[in-house]
Amino acid sequence: MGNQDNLAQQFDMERYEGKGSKNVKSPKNNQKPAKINSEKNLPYLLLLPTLTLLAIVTIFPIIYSLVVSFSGYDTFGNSIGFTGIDNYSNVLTNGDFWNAIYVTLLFTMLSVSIEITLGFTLANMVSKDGKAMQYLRWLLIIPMMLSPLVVAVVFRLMLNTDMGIINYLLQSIGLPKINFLGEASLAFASLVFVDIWQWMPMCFLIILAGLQALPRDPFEAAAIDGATKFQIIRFITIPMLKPIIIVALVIRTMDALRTFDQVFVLTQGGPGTSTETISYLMYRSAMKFTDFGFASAGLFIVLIITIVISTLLIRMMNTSQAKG
Amino acid sequence: MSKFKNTVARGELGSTIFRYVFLVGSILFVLFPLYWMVITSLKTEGELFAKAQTFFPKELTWEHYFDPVNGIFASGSAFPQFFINSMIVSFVSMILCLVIGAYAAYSLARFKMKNNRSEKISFLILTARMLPPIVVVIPMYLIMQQLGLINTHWAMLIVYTGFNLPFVVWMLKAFFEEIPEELEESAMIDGASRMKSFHIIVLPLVLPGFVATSIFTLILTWNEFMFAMFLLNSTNMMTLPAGISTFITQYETNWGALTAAATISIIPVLIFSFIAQKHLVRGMTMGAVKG
Amino acid sequence: MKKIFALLVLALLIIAGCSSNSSSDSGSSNSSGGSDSGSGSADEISVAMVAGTETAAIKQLVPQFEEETGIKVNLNEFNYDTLYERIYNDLRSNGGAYDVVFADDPWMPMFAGGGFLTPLDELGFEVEDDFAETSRKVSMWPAPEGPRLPGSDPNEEPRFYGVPSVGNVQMLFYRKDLMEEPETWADVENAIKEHAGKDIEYGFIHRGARGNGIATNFNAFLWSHGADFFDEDWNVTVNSPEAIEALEFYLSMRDTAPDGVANYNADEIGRVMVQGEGLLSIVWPSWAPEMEKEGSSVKGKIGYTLVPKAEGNDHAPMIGNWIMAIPEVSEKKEAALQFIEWANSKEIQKEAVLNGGVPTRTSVLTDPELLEEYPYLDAIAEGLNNANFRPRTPLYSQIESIYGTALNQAMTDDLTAKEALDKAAAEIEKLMEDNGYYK
Repeated sequence: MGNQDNLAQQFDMERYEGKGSKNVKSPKNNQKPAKINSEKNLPYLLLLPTLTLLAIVTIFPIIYSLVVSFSGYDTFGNSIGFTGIDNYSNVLTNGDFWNAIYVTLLFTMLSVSIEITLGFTLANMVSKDGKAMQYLRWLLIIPMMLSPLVVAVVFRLMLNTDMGIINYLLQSIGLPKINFLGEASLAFASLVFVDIWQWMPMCFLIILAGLQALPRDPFEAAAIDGATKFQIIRFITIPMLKPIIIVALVIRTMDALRTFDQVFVLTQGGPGTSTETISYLMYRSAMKFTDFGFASAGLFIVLIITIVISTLLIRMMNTSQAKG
Repeated sequence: MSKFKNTVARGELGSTIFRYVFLVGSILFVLFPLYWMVITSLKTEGELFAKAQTFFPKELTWEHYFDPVNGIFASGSAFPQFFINSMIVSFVSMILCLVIGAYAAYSLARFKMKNNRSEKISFLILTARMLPPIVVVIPMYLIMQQLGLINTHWAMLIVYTGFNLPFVVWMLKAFFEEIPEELEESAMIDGASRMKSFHIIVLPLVLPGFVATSIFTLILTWNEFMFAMFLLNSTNMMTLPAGISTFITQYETNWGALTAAATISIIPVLIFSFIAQKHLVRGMTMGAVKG
Repeated sequence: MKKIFALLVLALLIIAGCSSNSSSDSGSSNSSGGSDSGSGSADEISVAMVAGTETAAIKQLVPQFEEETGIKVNLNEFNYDTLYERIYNDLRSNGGAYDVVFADDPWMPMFAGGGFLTPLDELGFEVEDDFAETSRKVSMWPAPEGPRLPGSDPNEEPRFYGVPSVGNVQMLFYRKDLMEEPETWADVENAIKEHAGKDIEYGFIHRGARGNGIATNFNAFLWSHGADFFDEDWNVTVNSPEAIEALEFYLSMRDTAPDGVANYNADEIGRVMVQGEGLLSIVWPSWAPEMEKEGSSVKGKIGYTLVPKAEGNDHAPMIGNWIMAIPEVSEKKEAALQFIEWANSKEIQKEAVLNGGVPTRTSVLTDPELLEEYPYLDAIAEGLNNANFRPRTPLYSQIESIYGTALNQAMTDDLTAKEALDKAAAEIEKLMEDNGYYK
């Protein structure tokens, strides 16, 4: 029965090999050439399981989707054969689709830029403190360890108009209640806020690591030359940290583009379509409306957009790292 | 001169105060929602929905946890099963990831392939990490259905192992690259094969890296929601996030039980991350940044 | 570090061991059920149901069934939003994960119309006339009334594809200690003027959340103003003058509603009512037990009655029954039917009422003994007799999404009443056209 036993064997193998090493006689002289020969395929062999599994979870589904994206489906979700590029033209002329692209991009840009700015500020503030900061650091980064679903649930409670603590606090200082999730712009802002809460800590953590790894000399030299704090940050810290900031940017952007869990729990895309991210729209068209062709075509377009954005960002990362 | 020094000192003091205010503010900002979650789970039903919210429950209650009928640990409750399922899926998938990923990572870190191929493969693996899960989840549902694996933990293991492999490979690769190659070479000169030297020389040296990687894999799996929601369709197979999402009902949300479930569900993650805190940065950046 | 790792490995091995046991359990049940991934053995059935108070009543009685019949029942509870997708995807891909499904009545055209459910006469089962009339109608396919799907046989005899199990129907909850029972919307308007902001905080409480929330809430207004979604030929009439009048009236009541109503769902409405802050609202019956609970601030103060109507029209609360049905691919139809029969028997429906259940049998709804303790049953019976159902087309969930989005936009003042309904009508028309309803 499958994997566990294989696993056990694997462990045994390792143990066996570990013990067996003493017994194996391997004459030194004919060593090298033989090794090179046997090693020729070894790197690929080692990669094989990983690549196979990756193919199963990515390439197969993508090919499947590709086929589906050229097929039509009736109301009941039965395939009605190939319909050419109908699905693609439907997607590209669909208002909801462009709205979702807009929502997703705006959401990504807003939340990622704020997260990085805040994370950068915070990292600069704690970078000097030594060991004492370690536990504090752990506290600060708890949010990013949590399931986005759980985070969304907690914020759904806190943002509730009637029994939410945030509205209670607003009222107790004499402000009117705010219907956070019931108005388009506020719901969008709430979503950004929740994302910042959860992921600002990650930007903070990455940038902090970068800061601590920077050499001291340029800073000391600048201080001797009488540079202000702002100048130091502007002309020394930021340029030197650029590669690290870009790493944070790449990772956060890729994640923000696929935001789903929070939308699922907090707004279900509403009010109107103000918070409908692309992931949520595609989920809705496929699972609720059984429009698999439409969803697959949309997903392909999304996939292309994601790949373009990520490749650009990774290029940026590689060039900046090569320089740095 | 002395005057100048004074202003500097005052400025320092000002910025120190600002720093601490900002820091304390950030900590409150981060911790308050968590505090609120825990405290809500300990409030009585009456207090929960009262007009005046309380920052500390007037009357602490464990009813949302241990009430024999409505608590999340009651005998009829599905919550303990969610927890066990999450444990099974995350730990087994973690082991699979490590075993499979370690060899790939070692291969990419050590062997020079023709035409820069190893870098190309590394990049290919990385692109899998960029794939939005929504792109594959629907076809995956249909494929798993055909394989008869829908609603089994096998499906979850395949998906989670597959999707966490890029992360594991990249992170372990970074750890392997830190081990000087001379160590293996000297072992090989002594007659060990390449793989043997990998197993007995390299692996023990990257143990800390393995621990860190494993913990991150655990956290990623523990928190995953989308696949779990699509691929598991009976309550007794569900993992925590999918299970918790079923607590939000159409007519009435039981916030007490919901926050209690959320609280319990994050405890393992807190423990994991505490153990791995030294390696947090590296984990989060797939080895791209050393922490 | 080494110690930690050793411990970790140990823990992993233990857990891996456990998992291989539990996985092999599910594995063995797989093999016995073919492609079935649900419960395997013949005396075990798997039920997909909605989580919440309506089904909680029956849930508590299930052990009784298990004991009587020896059939084990695996209950799978999901929230409303995902239940439909789960059932639908399982049905569509012949998954067979569930042997009994709870279907909200507007899902029946999709499930039954798509041929995914077992017609009950095939199993030799008949649904008695004791079940309320509208409840029976929504359990049948093709729809006994209203337009039929294009291309379908107009003479096809409707068959039962499920048993109505939870008799949800919209009811008006009003404060009988403050106001008279309203018969028309004009009465409601007057009562709000007289009381809201004076002896009670709010007037009418809207269920304004996007999608299903506002769509269902507004349906009662739409129909009771004499408007409807379609005429007999599927022509869209949702922006008729009557419909616009209904929406304008609905929106006008926002003045005395809480600020957040544009995002209110059933949960929030019930909460406001149970706290004694709302004068009246359209609420599902499952909240009635909550109102009458010991210690509730409105115990005995709530009147339950038919949703009012506009002058010169009929009462038209919306039906929202839960129907128990058996998927076509289920391999345990006999056991599933046994469960359904039991769960909807007179005795069990009666017992379920004690746990907060909402019955569908007229004999239970009018049981004098129960009525004494549960005054709202009468109003449910009356509601079911007057209820309207949603358009019987598998496109309804898309219609609802269009309509529920437009209504919500009117609620947030992004659109006027006319703009919202015109927009909804145009989009619904395009949807119907694309799906060949106007050939």
